Amino acid sequence: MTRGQQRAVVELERMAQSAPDDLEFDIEEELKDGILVVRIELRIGLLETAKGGLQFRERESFSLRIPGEFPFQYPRIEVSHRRFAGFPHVTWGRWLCLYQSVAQWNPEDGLYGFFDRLHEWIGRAAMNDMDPVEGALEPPYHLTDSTQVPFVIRKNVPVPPGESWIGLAVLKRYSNRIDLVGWEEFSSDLPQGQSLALATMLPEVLPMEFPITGKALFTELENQGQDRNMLISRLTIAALLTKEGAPVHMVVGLPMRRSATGETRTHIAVWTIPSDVGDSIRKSLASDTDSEALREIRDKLADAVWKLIEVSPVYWCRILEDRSEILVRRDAGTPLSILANTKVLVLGCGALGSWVAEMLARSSPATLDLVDTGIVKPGILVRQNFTPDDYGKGKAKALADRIEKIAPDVCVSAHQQDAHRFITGDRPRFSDFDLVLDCTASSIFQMKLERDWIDLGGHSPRMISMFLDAQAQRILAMSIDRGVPAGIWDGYVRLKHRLCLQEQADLANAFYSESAESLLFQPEPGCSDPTFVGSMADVVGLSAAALNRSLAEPPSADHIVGFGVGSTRCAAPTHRTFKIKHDLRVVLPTTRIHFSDVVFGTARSFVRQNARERTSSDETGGLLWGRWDEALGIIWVFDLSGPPPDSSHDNGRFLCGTEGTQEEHDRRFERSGGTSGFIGFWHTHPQMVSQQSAVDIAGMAKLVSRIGDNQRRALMLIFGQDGDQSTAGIYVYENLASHGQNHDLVQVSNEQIQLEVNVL
Amino acid sequence: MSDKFELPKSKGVVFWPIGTGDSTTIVIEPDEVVMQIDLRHLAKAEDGESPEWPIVDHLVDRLPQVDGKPFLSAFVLTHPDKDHIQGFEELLKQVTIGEIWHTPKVFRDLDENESLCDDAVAFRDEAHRRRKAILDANGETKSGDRLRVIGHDDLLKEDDYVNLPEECKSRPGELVTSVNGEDVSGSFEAFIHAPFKEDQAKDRNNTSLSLNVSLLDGDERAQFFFFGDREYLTIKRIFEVTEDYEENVDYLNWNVMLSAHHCSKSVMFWKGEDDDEPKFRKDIMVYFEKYSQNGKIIASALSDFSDEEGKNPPHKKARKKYEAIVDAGNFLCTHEYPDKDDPKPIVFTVDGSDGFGFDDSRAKAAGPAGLATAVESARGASKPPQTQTEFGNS
Repeated sequence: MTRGQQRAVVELERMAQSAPDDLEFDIEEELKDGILVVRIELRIGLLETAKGGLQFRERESFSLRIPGEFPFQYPRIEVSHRRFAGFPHVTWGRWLCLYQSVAQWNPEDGLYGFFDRLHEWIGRAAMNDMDPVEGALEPPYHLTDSTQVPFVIRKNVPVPPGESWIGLAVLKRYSNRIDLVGWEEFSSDLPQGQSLALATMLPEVLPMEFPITGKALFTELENQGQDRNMLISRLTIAALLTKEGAPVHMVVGLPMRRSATGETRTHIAVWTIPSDVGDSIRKSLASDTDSEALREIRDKLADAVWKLIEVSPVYWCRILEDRSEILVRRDAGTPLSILANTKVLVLGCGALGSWVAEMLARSSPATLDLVDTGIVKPGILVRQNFTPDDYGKGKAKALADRIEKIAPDVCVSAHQQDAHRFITGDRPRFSDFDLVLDCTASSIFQMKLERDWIDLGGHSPRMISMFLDAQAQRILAMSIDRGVPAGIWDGYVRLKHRLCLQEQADLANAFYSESAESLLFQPEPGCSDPTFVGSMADVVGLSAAALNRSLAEPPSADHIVGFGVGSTRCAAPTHRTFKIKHDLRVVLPTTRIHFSDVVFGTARSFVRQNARERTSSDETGGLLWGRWDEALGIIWVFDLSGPPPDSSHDNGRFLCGTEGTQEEHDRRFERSGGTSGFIGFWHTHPQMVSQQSAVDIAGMAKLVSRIGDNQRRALMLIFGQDGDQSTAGIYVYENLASHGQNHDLVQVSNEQIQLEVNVL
Repeated sequence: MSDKFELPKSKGVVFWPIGTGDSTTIVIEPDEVVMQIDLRHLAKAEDGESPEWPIVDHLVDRLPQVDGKPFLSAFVLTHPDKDHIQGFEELLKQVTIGEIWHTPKVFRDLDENESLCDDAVAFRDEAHRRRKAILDANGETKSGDRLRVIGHDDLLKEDDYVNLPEECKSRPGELVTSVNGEDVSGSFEAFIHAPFKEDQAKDRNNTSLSLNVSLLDGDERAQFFFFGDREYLTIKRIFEVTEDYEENVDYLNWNVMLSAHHCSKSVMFWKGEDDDEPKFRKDIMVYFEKYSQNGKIIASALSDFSDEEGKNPPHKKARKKYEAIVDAGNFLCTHEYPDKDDPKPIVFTVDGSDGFGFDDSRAKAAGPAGLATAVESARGASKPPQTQTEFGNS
C-alpha cells in the first residue's frame, strides 16, 4: 500500500467507526497496477425519491478502487450488478461517475470529500436529478477502434438535432486524421473526385452505452423506424463508397449531446466495418452478367456477411470535435509580447507553456526541455501554439518540432511524461536546470512536489510558477530561489494568505473566491476539464508579463516573491509584488511545520501583557491559527492570539477559555479565504523548560479524543526557557483511533527548538 | 412507552413494537373481523415507560365489542414458544375468542427442553376444551368453541381427533377463506404452506405454522408472508414444494414479509452435514427476491442486532442480507419505526380505491444519512473546542 492508500484506509476506518451500522468496508485485494480494491457496504435508508429516480436497495455494495497516487488521483467506484445501467452518470453499466473532471477533486479532503460526493450522487440519483437541463450532457460511451486515425468533425450538421436526414459526408484524408468538412444531399449520381461516406441523422437517441453487437444496433435502429432492409442497402452503399481494402465508414448523427446552455446538439459517431467485410459486401452485389449459379453464390455470401455483421462487435471511430456548435470558443483579443531566456525546463506545454517555451526558444537558450502528457486536439488551437498538422501528436513533441523549426540552434528535448514523474525520476537532472518554468497550472502537481520537496536535499533549481484566473485577466506568479527549503505550493499558500489578509480584493477574488471557480467553463460539454476563458492574446500577454516581472525581481535566500499582474482588459491593470520572508520550518517524522515570522513576536507581546496584568510567573497562552494539510503533512502556523476572556492564569496552570473563539475562527477563516483557521493552542512555562507536563498531556489528549470535542488533531506550542535561551516545545497531537479499536489512540510527535526571539 | 392508537379503519395489518417476539394483528373487516397471529405481552410494558407496547391492553381497548366484551374472531398460534404466546391466559380472560388456529405441535414435545410455558399450557388447555365441546355437540361448532388444527400428525388419527369434523382441520396446500365460521373470501385468504407431514418430528421452531395471508379489497390484493420461527431448510422447502404446483405459485408472492424468527441468521446461514460452520445460502435469498412485490421486510424485534457468539436474534448478518434484497427504506424493525426512542406500530392498509398503503411517518433524507454522519465525525471538528482546555507545568 502506498502512503496515500494507507491514509485512505485510515479515513475509511474513521468513517466506519463513526457509523458502524451504516458503513462497512473490506480490503479485497491490491491489483497488479497498484490499485487497492475495497468493498464498501452502505446502508441507504429512506430517501427522498422522485419518479424515474434510481431505485436503491436498503443496503448497497460498492467496489472502491483507490489508486496508488491517492489522494492526488481520485478513486473510482463501481457496482457489481447492472441495476444502475443506463442511468445518467453511470458508465458501462457499473461505474459511477462522481466527478466530471479532476478539477472537482480536492486531495486535501481525501475520502471524506469523495463520500460527500457519493452522498450527493445517491441523493440526486434517487430524485432523478442527475441530468439537469442547464448542465452539459456527456458524450455517449461506445467501443472505439483506436487502430484507425480519428475523425475530426469540422462542419456543423446539416439539419437540427432530432431531424431525420440521409446523405453524404465529405471527407479530407490526412495521415493523422480524417476531417469531415461538408455534407451533401444524397442522390443517385454520386459526386466524383471526392472522398465520401454515407451519413445519416437519426431522430432519436441510442442508449448512452451504444449497442455492442450489430444485431443490437439493428434492433435499436429498427425501433426508430429504420427498416432493416433499408439499413442493409445503406451499408451496401457505404461499402460502394469505400476503396477496396479500406474499412467502411458510416457517419451517424444522434440528438445526444447538449451545449453548456442546455440546448440539444447532434452527437456524431462514425461506425466502422472492417475492410474484409466491406469487400465481401461488394462481392455479394448482383451484376447483370451473373449466371444463375453465381447469383446463388452471391446470395449465400450476402446472407453470411449480414449474419457476420450481426454477431460482430460494433466499433466506432475516434471522434475529435471541431464543430462550432459543440465547442465553446476561447477567443477574445488583446495584445501580446515576447520574452527570451536561456537554459530552462518548461513543465506543461499548454496555454502558458507552449507560448512561454516559444518565448524562451526565441531567446536562444542552450537547452530547452519540454514536459507534457497531453495530445494536440482541435479546440486548443485558439490559444495554444500548435497547428492542425499536430493533431493527435504528443504536445511536448509537437512543440519541440515547432521550436526546432523556429530556433534550430536550441537543443530541444521533448518528454511526454507526467511533470512530477519527470522530476522524481531523475532528481540530479532536475537540480541541473538554471530555471524551471512551472506552467502546469496544476495544484495537484504542485502539492505532490511539495510533499517530496525534502527529498531534493536542498538542490532545487530556481523556479517560476504562474497561473491565470478564470477569465485570463490576471496572472499570479511565484518565484523561488535555488536551494530553498520549501517549494512553490508553500509559496502559493502563503501568498494566498497574504492576498486575503492584506485586502488585495481584486486578486483574492479573481483567484480564490467561489465565484472565480464558477467562471470556468467546459470546452467540450461533458466530462472534460473545466478551463479558463481567454484568447491567445490574453495568455501570451499575461504569461510574458509574469515572466518579465519574475526575472526582473528575483527571489533571494531570505524571501520568495509573488506577483499579481493584471492585463489591460481588467479594471486594475497594475503589477504588484509581494515579498514574503521564508518561514521557520521544523521537520518532525510525520509532519512539517512552517511558522510565519510574526508568530513569535506576537507571542512575546502577549507574554509581556500578561506580566503587566498579573505576574511574570503566571502562565498564559491562547490559540494558534493556520492551515493543516493532512495530504501533504504540512502545518502552516500563520498567527496566534492571546488568552480568551474566560481563561484563568495561575502560577503553574493556564486554563484556556472558549469565549469568542468560535467567532474568531469563523472570522479568520472567511477573511483568509479558507487558508487560516484554528489549529491548536500555545501556552507558557515561565522559568521552566518547554517540555509538556502531565496536565498538558491530559488536556490535549482529551481535546483530540472522542471524549472531547472530536477535534482529532491539534498542535500545542509551549514557550519555555533553557537557561537564558528562549525555547519552544512543539507537540503534534493526532487521534489515530480507527475501526475496531474501542479506545482512542493518540499519537504525539514533538520537537524542541531554540528561538531567536526572546518570547519569555 | 405506548400512545393512544387506533386499529386501521380499512383492511390492514399491524406489526406492534412488543420487544423481540411476534404479535401481528390483521383487520379483515374493520370493526368486525380481527385476527391475531401470535402474542408477546411483556408485564414491564404495562408501566408505560418502556419502549415495548402492552399488546393485550391495546387489543382489549381496540377490538370490536360483542355482547359488551372485546371480541377477537380468531387467534392463530404459529408455535407454542413463549415469545409467540406470552399473555394468552390474560387475553383469554378479557377477550372472547371466536376461533383458535394451531398446529398439532401444541400437544407434542420433542424432548424435555420443549416444555410449555404457562401461557402455552393455557392455550393447550383451551384447545382441549374446544375439542371436547365440539365432540360433545356431535360436531356442531359455535363461536367461542371453534378450532382449526393445521397440519398432519399421527395424533390426528387418534380417537380424540379422528371424529372432529373436517371443517376443523386444514392441511398444507389448502386455501382458507373463512374465519370463525364466517365466509370472508372477498376480504381474506390464508394459504397454508406448512407444517408439512414430515415436520412432525422436528423441533418446535421448524414445525411453525407458515401462512401467506392475502387481504383483498376490490381489485387490490396485498400478501403477507409468515414463517413463524422456521429456519433455512424448512423455509426453502416451502418454496420448492409450492413451485411444483403451478396453481399455488402466486401464494409465494409477498408485499410484506415478517422475517422468520425475529430476523434470525438461521434463515440464510446454515451448517450442512459437511460444513465446519454455517455458510451463507444464497438460494433462499433468491427465492425471497423472486417473489417480492416491491416487498417490505419486518423484523419484529428490539433494535439490538448483533452477531456475537450465542446471541439470540435479531442478528445483524440476517438484517444485512435482507437489506440487500429490498428497496431503500423497505427494511423495517418494529423498534426502529419511526425512530428508536419512541417506536410505534407499523400499519399497512389495503383499500380498493387507495390501493396497498403504508403511511410511512419516517423522515426522508436527501442521501444516505449514515454516510453524512460518518464523514462529518471522521473528518473531525475544525473550529476551536467549546470546552476549556487545561495546561500546566506540574
